[in-house]
Amino acid sequence: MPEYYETQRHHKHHNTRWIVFSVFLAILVFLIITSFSDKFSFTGNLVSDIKQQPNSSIKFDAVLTIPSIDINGDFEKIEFQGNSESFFYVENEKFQLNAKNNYIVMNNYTGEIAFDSKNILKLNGKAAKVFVNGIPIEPKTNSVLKVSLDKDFSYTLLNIKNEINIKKLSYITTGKININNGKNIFNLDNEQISLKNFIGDASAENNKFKISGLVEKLDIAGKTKISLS
Amino acid sequence: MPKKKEESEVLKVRSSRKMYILVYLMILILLSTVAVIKFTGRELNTFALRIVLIFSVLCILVTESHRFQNLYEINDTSLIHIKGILFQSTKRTDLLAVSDAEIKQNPWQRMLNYGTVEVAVFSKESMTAMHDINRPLEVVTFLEQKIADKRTSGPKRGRI
Repeated sequence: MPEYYETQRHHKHHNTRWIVFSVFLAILVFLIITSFSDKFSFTGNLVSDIKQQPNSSIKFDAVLTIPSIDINGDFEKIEFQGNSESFFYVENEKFQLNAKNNYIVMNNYTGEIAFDSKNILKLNGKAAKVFVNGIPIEPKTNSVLKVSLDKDFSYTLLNIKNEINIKKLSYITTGKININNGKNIFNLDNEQISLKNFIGDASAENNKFKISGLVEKLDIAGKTKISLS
Repeated sequence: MPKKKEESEVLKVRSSRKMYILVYLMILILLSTVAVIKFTGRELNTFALRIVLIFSVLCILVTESHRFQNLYEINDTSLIHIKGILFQSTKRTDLLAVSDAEIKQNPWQRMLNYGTVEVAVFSKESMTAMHDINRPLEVVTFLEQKIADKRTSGPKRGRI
C-alpha cells in the first residue's frame, strides 16, 4: 500500500479514536456529576444566579388571602402542620399522617411545592434533613433525602423560609400591603393584585398568607389602581 | 487458525474484535458506573442513562459494521479482498503473483496476537493489506502453504 494512503488512514483512525474517547469521557463525567453531586442541575446555577441578583427592589410585606400557587426552588426551611390520608415518603420510609396534628420540618429543601388555601397539593423534592413529628431523619447513603406526598395534605400551618421566588402571581385578594417599611400602606378588599419577581419568605395560616420580601413590580387593580416598579 | 478453515482449505478472515477492546472497555466502564450508582442508591439521571445506552449500542453497531466492511479469503488460487457491505468491491490477487507477505504489529497488537498482513505482488503495483486480523503469523503460514501448493501443481491450475 502506498505510504501516503497508509498515513492518511492512520490519521483518520487517530482522529476517530480521539473523538470516541472524548465522547466517552464527556458521558462519564456527566454521569458522575449528575449522580454524585446533589447540587447539579442543568439550569440550577443559572437560575440561582438570577435569583441572587433580581431587579426586585420594592420592600414588600403583606397579609393577604391564600392564593393557589405552585413553586419550585431551593428553600432553607419548610415546615407544615396538619393531617392527611396521604403517606409522607422520606426515601424508602413512609409515614402515616392520619393523626390529627402532624408536624413536619424539612431543612434545605429543593423541589416543588404547590398549595392552595387548605391543602398542600404537591410536594416532591429533596431535603438535607427531615423531622417528622419530632423524629429526625438524616440521609444514610446520599447527602439528601427524597421526600414526597402522594395525596393532598390538609394544613393548618405552612411556613416557607429563605426563600420563595415567585416570578408572577396574580389573584383577587383581600388584606393589607405594606410597601417600603410603612411608606405606603394599602388595604385591599377583593381587589386584583399582580406581583412580578417576588423574593422572600411566606407563611400560610388561618387563611392568611403572610409574605415578606422584595418585589420587582406591583400592580393593584380594583377600587384603587396602583402600579409600583 | 482464524475464522474458518473449510474442507477445501479456504481461509476466510475478518478484522479481529480485539482491535475494539478499548471501545468495549469504555462501554464496560460506563455500565459499571451506572451499576455502582444504582447499587449505592444514588439517583441516576435518566438523560445520562439514555446517553450511556445510546453510546453503548452505537459503539457495538459501529464496531460490528466496521468489522464487516472487510472480508479476506485465501483459497487454492487467489487471495480475495471483499470490501463493503452494501456496495462491494472485490479484489483478487493470484497466488502466483504474490512475492512476499509482511506482518505489521505494534506492541499492543503483539500482546493480543493480531495485526496487519501486507501481501505484495511481484509487479509492486498493488498490495493487499489484511488489516487487524487475528493470528497473522498463522495466516501468513497458510498463505505460504497455498502459494507453494499452487507453484508445485503448475501455474495454470486453479486459475479463474
